[in-house]
Amino acid sequence: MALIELLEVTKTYRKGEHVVTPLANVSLSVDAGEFFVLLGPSGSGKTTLLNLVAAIDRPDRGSIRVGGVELGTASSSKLSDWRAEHVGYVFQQANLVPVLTAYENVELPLFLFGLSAAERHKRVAIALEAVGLADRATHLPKQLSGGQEQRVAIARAIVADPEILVADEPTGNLDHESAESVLDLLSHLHRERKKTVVMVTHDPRAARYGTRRMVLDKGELKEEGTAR
Amino acid sequence: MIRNRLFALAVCLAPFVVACSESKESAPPAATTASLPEAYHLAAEPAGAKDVLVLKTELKDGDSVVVRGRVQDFVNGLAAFVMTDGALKPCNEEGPMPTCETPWDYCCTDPAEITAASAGVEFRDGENVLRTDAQGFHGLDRLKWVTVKGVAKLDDKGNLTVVADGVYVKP
Amino acid sequence: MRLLPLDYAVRNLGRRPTRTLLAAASSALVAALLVATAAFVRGLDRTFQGAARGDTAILLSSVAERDVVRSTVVAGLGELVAASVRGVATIEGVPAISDEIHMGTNLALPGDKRARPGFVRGVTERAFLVHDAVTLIEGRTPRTGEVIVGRLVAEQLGVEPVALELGKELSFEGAAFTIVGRFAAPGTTIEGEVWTPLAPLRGLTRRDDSSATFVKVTEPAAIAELELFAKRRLDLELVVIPTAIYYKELADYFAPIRNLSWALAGLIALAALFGGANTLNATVQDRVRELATLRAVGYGGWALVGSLAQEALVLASAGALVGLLAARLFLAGSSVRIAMSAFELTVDAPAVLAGIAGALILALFGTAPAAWRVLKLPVAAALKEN
Repeated sequence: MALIELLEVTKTYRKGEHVVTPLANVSLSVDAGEFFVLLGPSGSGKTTLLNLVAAIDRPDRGSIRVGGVELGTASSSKLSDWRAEHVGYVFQQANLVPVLTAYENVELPLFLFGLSAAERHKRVAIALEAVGLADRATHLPKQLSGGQEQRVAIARAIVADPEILVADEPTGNLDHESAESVLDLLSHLHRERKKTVVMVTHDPRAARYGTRRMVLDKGELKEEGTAR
Repeated sequence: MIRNRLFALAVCLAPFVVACSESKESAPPAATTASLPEAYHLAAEPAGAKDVLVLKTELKDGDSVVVRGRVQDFVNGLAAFVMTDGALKPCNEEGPMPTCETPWDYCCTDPAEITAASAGVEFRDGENVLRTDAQGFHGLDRLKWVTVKGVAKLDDKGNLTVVADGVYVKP
Repeated sequence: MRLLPLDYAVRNLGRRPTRTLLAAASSALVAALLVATAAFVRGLDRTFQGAARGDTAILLSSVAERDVVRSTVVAGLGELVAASVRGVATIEGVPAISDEIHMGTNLALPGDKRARPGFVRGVTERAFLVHDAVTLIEGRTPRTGEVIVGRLVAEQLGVEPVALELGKELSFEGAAFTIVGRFAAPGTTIEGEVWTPLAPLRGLTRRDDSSATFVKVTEPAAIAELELFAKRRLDLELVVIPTAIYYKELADYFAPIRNLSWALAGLIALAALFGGANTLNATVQDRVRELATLRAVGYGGWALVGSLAQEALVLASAGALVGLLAARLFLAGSSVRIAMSAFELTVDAPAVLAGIAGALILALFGTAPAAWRVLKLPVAAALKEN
C-alpha cells in the first residue's frame, strides 16, 4: 500500500536572477515498509524531493499525500506537528545542538509530546541503545566521532517512533567504516522496526542498501533496479 | 537540568529581591465644608452703599455700614473674603495688557494702593468666622461686584473688616 | 505551543562568552543607569515631599512672588500671629511659630580663595518646633557667632566632611562663625543649609525684618485661620502658603531637570536596545542551521522565538542583577548638589524596579528583529547553510 504519493509535483525556486526547476511534474509512490533510495547527480533535485516528503518545503504545483494527509496545502504549524509525529530526518551533517549532550539531543523531539520525564528517559535510553551509544549518553557532540554524531542524529530521528525516516546523504561526511555502520543501522531499523526509509544519495555503494532505487535526473524519475 | 532551571529562575527573580519594600506616608485629611446660611443673601442691593475708599475715610469702629466693591480673594475653608474698591482695575481690564491668569490679585497695581482700597468681609457666628466657604454663595466669585451690609471693625493700623449681616451679589 | 527546554536557553549563553559578557554588561549598564536616574528623580521629589507638610504654612510677603529669599515680613510677625490666630500648635506651652531669615550667600572656609554659594537660615530655638524633621545629631544649638550645619552641607559646598567638623570655622557676610552642631532633616533641602541665630544675623545684615514666618497648626484646616489673619491684616501684605503647596511648586520648578534626566537615560537605553538587538540577530545568524534542524524536528517558529526570548531575559536579568547591586553599592547614601541645596539619592524599591523593568523590556524588544528572522527562516535552504 502506498504510504507516500507524489502526483505531478513541480517545484521551482530562484537562484540569483535565474529560476531553477529541480522538479517538474514528478510523480512517485513509496509503499510502507520500503527502503527507497533516490540516486542522482548533485543539483538534480534529490534533496528538494526529500524536503517535500518530509514536509519542510511545499510544492508549487501538484499533490503530496503521506499516510493519507495532503501536505501541500497544510498550514505551517500543522506541518510542524505532522513532522514531529510522522518523520524522522537524518541530515548529511548530524546537526546536533553543540551545548546539549547526546542524551539531551535525542530527547529534544520528545518535548513536543508532553511526555513525563520518566517516559522520555525510557524512550531516549531505547533509542541510544538502538544506535549502540548508550555509553555515550553524557557526551557532548564535540566529544564524539563523526560516525557517532550521525548515529546520535539517527537516535534523535527515531526516538519519537515515526513511521518514516528520511535521510539526506547520511554518509556524505563519513569515512568508509563509519558510513557502513550508519547504513547497517538504517537497514536494521528498516528490517527490524519496519520503518519506511527514504534515502537520498549519490553513492552507489550506499544505494545497495535500498529495496528500491530510482534515479532523478534533469527533473525526471527513472526506475534503477530492484533489491539485492 | 533541574539545576539549570533553578539557576535561570534565581537569576530572573534576584533583581526583584534586591528591590526591598518601603513604607508610604499618608496624605493630610481634607477640610469639610457646609454652605453659608441663606439669611445672608440679599435679593436686592441695599440702599446707601458707599465705595470702600470713601467709606474708609469717614467711618468709626462699630458703625453700621453698606459697602460696595469687587471681590478680590477668599479665605479657603472660612466664610470670609477681601473686597476692593471698584476704582481699581484688575490687570485684565487695564488696557492692552497681556493676558493675566490671576487678575483678581491686581498684580499691576501698587500693593500699598490695593491695601488702602481693600476691606475684609466676614460672616460670623458670635466671635468666630463660620467654617464654610463663601465662594459660590449665590454666584459669589472673584471680581464679582458685591454690596455688603454689616458692622465695621477698624483696627489701629487702618484695616477695615466688615462683619456682614447680608451680601448682595450683582448678577 | 511546546517550548524548548529552558536549559537550551541557559546553556546557549556559554557558547560565545565574550558576546554574552558584552550583552550582560550592556544590560547591567542600562539597569544601573535607570536606577540612578530613578534614584535621582525620586531623591529630588522626596526632598520636596519631606519638607511639604499638611500642618505647616509659610507667611510670606505678597510681593515676593512666593520666593522666601526675596520676601520680607515684619520682624515681630510670629508674635502677632501667636496673639491673634487660633489653631496654632503649641509644644510645652510654646507656640510653634518660627520667624526666619533665608539668604543665599557666599560661604568661605579658612584658606578659601573662591566663594562657595550656600544657603543660610537665621532661626530662633522655635524653629525646631516647626521643622520637626530637623534633629541635632551632634553638638548643640548655636549662639551668637555660631552655626550648626546640615548633614549635606559638605556635599553642597563641595568640601570634605572633615572641613565642617565641630569647632571648625565658617565665614559669611564678613563674619566668622564656629560650627557647634550638625543636624539631619531627612528628605528635605534643609540638610544643605547652615543655621545661625536670627537676631545677630539681622544685625550682621542690617535688616530689621524677617524673610518669612513658618507656622505649625493643630490641624490642616486651621491654615484657614492664618489666611483669615492675613486678610484682616491687609497692612502686612502677607500671603499664606501651605508648605505642601510651596514645596510642590518648588518641585515643579525642577521638572525640566527631571525630564532631561529621563530623556538622557532613555537615549542610552535606546542605544543599548539596538546593541542588544544586533547581538541577538548575530546569534540567529550563527545558529541558522541549528534552528532549521529544530524546525525540521518539529518545533514551531514561535517555540524558537520563545527560546530566544528566554535567553535574552536570563541574560538581561543576570546583567540587571549586577547593575542593581552596583547601583545599590555606589549610589545608596550618596548625594547630589542642586541649586542652593543638596539631596540624597533614593535607591528604593520603585527605583530598583525601574532598573529591572527597563532592562527586561529592552531585552524583549531587542528580541524582535531576531524573532522576525527566525519566523521567516526558509528551513530547507537554512539546513544547507554553513
